[in-house]
Amino acid sequence: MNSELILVVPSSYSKKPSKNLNAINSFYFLLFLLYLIFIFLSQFSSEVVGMNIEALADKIIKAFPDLELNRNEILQKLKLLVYEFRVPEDEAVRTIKAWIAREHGKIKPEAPLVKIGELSEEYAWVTIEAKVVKVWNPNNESIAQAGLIGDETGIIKFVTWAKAEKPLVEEGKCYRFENVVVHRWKDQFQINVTRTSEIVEIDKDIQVKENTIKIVAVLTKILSNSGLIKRCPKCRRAIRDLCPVHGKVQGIDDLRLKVVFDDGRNTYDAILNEDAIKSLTGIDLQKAVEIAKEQLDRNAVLRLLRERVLCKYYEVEGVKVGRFVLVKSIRGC
Amino acid sequence: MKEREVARRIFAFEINSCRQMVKDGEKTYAITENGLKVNRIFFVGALLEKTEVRPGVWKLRIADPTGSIRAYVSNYQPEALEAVVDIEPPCLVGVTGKVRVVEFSGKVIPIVRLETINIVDKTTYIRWLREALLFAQERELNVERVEDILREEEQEDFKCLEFDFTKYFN
Repeated sequence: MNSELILVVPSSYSKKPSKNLNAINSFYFLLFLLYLIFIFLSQFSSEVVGMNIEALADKIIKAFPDLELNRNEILQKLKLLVYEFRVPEDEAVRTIKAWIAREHGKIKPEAPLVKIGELSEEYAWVTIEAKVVKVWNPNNESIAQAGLIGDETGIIKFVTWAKAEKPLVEEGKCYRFENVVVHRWKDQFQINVTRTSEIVEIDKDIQVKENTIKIVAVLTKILSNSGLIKRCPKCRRAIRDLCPVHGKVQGIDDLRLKVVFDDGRNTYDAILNEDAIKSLTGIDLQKAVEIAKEQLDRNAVLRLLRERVLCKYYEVEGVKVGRFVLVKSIRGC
Repeated sequence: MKEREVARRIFAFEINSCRQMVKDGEKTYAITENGLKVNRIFFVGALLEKTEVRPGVWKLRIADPTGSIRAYVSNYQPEALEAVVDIEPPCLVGVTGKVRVVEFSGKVIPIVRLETINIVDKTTYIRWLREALLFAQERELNVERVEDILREEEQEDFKCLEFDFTKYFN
């Protein structure tokens, strides 16, 4: 009995665990099979769309030729963004580029060197080699400098943000504007110089394609805010009594005409500055101020100018900037 | 912003042939007998008469070689009004204005509401004649009288003729 018992007990003991083990084994086996199927499926699915990911990773690596990057790491990040988070591919690439740039100090991906005439895409990062055509006084504290730069293909406005802390440029010199952003402002493209941009003077003389306009036309109208005007001493805006930004200021005198030229086919809004007015009528700012003082009427200047310039033919040469033609030379004919 | 209407260069006889107005969008046009839609004009001619029909309303008669137009200036065009007061006929004037067809004591007539007026010289007059003639020819309109005048004037040495218009109008 005893022996039997002894025999039975261990045998019952030994049988039970072996049964359990089998069950566990088969369970794991099933899991393993599922895992294999999963691996197989995931391999399969990643092969279908994975091509893109590989190409994107290569694109990212190419953008940083100086760096040794871990391709697998990039692939993983891409997969996370594209498959897991369903982020658009270009967004994912942009983000990862930014991550890499941050990780490796401030090295930005090389922005391609482009011509101004080729710019067509907003928010593109580009590098431009151009000559500074004009520099304006900034009318806003957050802007360090603004103006126009040009190359053989066109002219574009640039804005250097005060926060960017970049060197100021000079009119007539050529610079390389690295890593600048293309923006659209009031239906016109402009480039913004930001913190990550660089401005480097270059030893080149770039021929600027001038957006010049040459017309023979009649001066058919003088627009308002013409004649002897007052400007805000801080921002040069034409003002009446108050500057919209700087409030009550002691305005400084200036002479200008906003006019319409009409050649029978088109009309051109144009601005004549003091020089142009002087060459046309002999009246300069000093004389205009005298006339206003003599007649105790600032409008006397405008009346006189109207009499001198209206309804006559002119040969006009100017640069078109936005809506207005800035008149460079004007001659009665 | 509404596009500014180009100032057409057309002769007095064409302006005077207008009997109808049409509306195109927000703009009103007078129609010449040749079917040309006219809103703003630029016209140069001899100011022959100036009368103040009412206080602050002046009626002008301005002539080119093809006829004379009737033009009005009123308080609505303060700048033109200011200028008109100082201009004494006869003299050459350049004007811009809009052509309107109005009923006037039972007759339908075209008038021009002036926007600007200024005294001009003979050079401007001849240049305008040439320009208006070219535009007329483009519309396949022959204005022999103006052609003759220009031919005559050409024999005298006028500065404006040195300028090559054909290059500009091709």
